[in-house]
Amino acid sequence: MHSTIKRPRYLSYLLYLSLILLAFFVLAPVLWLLLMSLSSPTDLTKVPLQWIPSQWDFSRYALLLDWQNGSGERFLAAMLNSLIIATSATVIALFAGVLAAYAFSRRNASMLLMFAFLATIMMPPITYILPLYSAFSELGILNTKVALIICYCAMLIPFAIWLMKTNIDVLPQEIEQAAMIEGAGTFYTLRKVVLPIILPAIGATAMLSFLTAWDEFFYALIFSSDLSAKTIPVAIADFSAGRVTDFGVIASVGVLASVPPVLIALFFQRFIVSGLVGGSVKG
Amino acid sequence: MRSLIGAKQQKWLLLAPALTVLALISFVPFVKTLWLSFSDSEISALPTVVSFIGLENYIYALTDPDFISSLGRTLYFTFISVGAEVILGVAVALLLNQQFKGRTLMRALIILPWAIPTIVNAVTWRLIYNPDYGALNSLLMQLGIIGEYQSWLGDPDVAMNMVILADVWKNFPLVAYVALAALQTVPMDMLNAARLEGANAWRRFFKITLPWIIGPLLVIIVLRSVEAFRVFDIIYVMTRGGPANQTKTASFYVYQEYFSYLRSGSGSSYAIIVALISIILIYGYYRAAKRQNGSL
Amino acid sequence: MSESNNSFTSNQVSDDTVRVASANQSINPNNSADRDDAILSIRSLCKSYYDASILQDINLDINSGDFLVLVGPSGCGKSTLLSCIGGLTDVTSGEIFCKGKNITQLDPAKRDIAMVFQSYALFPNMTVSQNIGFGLEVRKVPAAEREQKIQQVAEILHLQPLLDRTPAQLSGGQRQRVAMGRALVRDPTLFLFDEPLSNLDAKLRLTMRTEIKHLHQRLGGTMVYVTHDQVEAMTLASKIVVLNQGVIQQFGTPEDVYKRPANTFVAEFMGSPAMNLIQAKVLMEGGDVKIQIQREDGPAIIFTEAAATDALRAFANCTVIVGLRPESISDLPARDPQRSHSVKCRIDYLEGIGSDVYATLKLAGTDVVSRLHGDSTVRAGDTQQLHFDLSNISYFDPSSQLRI
Repeated sequence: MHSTIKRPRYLSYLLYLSLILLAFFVLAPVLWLLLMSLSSPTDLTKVPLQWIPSQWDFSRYALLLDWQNGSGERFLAAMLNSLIIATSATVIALFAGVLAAYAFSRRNASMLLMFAFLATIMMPPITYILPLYSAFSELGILNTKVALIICYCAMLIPFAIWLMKTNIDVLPQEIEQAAMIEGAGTFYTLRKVVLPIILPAIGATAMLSFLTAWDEFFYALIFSSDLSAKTIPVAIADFSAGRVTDFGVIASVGVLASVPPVLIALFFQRFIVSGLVGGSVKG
Repeated sequence: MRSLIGAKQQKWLLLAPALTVLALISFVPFVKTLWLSFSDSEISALPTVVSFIGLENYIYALTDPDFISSLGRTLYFTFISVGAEVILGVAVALLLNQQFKGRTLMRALIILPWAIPTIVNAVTWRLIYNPDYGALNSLLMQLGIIGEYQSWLGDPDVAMNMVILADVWKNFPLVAYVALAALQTVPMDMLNAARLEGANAWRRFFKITLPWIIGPLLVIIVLRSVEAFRVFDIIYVMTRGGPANQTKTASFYVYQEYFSYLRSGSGSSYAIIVALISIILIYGYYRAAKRQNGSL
Repeated sequence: MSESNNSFTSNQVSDDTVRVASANQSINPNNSADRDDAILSIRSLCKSYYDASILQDINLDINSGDFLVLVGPSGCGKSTLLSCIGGLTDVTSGEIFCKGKNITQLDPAKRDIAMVFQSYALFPNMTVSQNIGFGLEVRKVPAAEREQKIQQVAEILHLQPLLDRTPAQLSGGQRQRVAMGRALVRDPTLFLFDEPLSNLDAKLRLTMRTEIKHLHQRLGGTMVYVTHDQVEAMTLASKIVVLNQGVIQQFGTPEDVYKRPANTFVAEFMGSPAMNLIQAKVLMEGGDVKIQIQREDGPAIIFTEAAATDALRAFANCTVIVGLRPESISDLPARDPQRSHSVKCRIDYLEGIGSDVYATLKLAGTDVVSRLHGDSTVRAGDTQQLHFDLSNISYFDPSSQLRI
């Protein structure tokens, strides 16, 4: 449509200039993180900086990906914990979420309750943290993955319900009615008819949930104290606060921790953006 | 308008798993925090006698200048951060809504900051701001903008703004995507009609485009405000509340009250005050979402 | 039994209920139907949604093998009534019996009913054969038997080459067939059709209509069919329910509904062009009942009603509404000369549709449509000899709008 009206030349220049600035703003920090992880410590402490490394240094990656060494163990254990916790919480949240979404979408569950659910994740976690801490402590599950999985479920469920509800809402009700007339019960209909149809939405919800859980810091900071439960965000905070003086190590941890979410985001962009935007822009 | 036989029993069955988790992990703890906020409870290894002290914690909190100023800082962070994200996000959306070569690639690129984990973002910017070897210092010096290296996060006057910059970088893509999606629904006919009526680009934006996208934009603005208001992780990594408490936000304040000073009673009253302000914002979200979607 | 007979025609004006009900008694198609041997019986069914009443006091019975069509303008409640029968909508009050068993509160899955939806409602994630076999799979019918039944139905509906496709790969007509196949395969007690042809183009609609008619004759199922198309209703139905604003206007055979409409609403709704409703006066001359219709462009038309009922006589010297179908006002002589009246009329304008010519004239201040032979050479403004066929004339009470 736009192409029907020719753009004046100066506007074209302005457009491309803005685009270059935008690309720089978006890319520079990421590229710099990557460069830091590959620069030698001497390049990183030059004043002013040696932007392009004088030699490529992959030693930090070798260090971090090695279970035998202290840093490597701390990093890999945290990655593994994050993977287990985020995946488990996502699976549980999807299960509970899809059922509740169906109740809201098709069984007249009160919208006020939906809003109450959403409100729980909008509240600052500091309002929940202390009673949770004492409860987990009494149950003896402090510093375990289970405690974090439970917390993350509570964090992901309302969001999963909301995303899937908007997707079930737009399905034609006749399809489910047809299944019921054919003799199928609600759970059979859900499993054989509704779920297969909203599979793309479930995928988007799963990825967004996983990314949210992967990103969480506050609960993990409070509820984990060693390698058995520490997640990658906490490990990164430790690396950056601790004895490590080499920026390159910190940068490498950052790069590696970003790989899973960035890959997910880039490969499933269309899905994820539609999921993100879905709630605020209708249709 | 159709209701179904047996729907009521099924409704609660379907809701049960979600309801159980949320009741135990969110609702019960909230009520308990509320209760603690009226007590003189402290975190201690020994069993202690906890007594009810009424509004004492609240009176103390609201007369504590440090807490009040941490609330002020949090509001500052929220307004400036979200404000900048909205302006940048809408500008970027308008840009990406134009026709140009490589548009798909640019649209994909924008997701990068959003995908980087918050903690990695905080660490990255902390390294960039480093007073001795940071990239920002080096870049500005090489461009001749500054004469000597600055301690960006060490200067009480600028530290908060530097944290805000890092937050904006991470979160503007979300606003941009929402705005872009909304822009794509603006009817072309309406814009063309305005063009034929002689309205210039500026006028078209403010009279047609902006009113059209304001609904979804409002939803994301309030949602981002709710998130920004409870900011913790980025502060924890970048400044730990320093320098001179200039970046100590409300969540961080409560965190210290709990886990550094172990005062669970008064900490809870701080938490409840923060929660009340959040509830006002959440109500704003409710109104914005309701306006946009008819129901929620 | 008399209870069910009285309630076939519900009326807005309660004073007239008894009289009209008794008028309908003679044409009641169902006087043998009872709750026990009827396949489907509906008793005093009401449905309201908040303050809005959608269905009011619905009563009807149908027998095995009946093809019941629910017809009415959009928003009349016909689809809601169908959903109530299917169990997709709960009823506010009243009862539904299927084979004598009260199914009002029964889950749709347990009603032994099949339904064809307006949107077809095929499962997009399944192939045609999985769609057809879904109900059998739910009922855990063994795979071999299921396969055999699917093949049978596919053969009847000419779906064999399509069995492995998904609904997205099918045309509208093919989807329609699959939806029917899904209903047929289970051999249920009752088939429900919710405007199944309304999403098809005109030509396909005719073909499918014929096909449904043949299927019904061949398989002999009991059908309840919703449509807003009165031609569809007339061609398919063995019984018709005309609904308006949630109230049954008439329940009868297509012939009843067409020839003896219970009120002016049915008269105008069924038939195209609609029945002419003309103001007239009832005059008594000796023992004869004469009907007088005024007109502006000539002397009043006066004819003798040889078959006047007592009810009509009661309107002596009063105004009534005369209902005459366009085909009862023709340039050709009526079949029964005894029940015919010929008058010269001025034709105002003409609409030719090939087979016929519809000529409009003015009687008693209203436009009246008459049907002339297709070869008629009459032109607008001409005067034409017209034959009024009185054998199927209807009379309505102008105040209650009910049939006299």
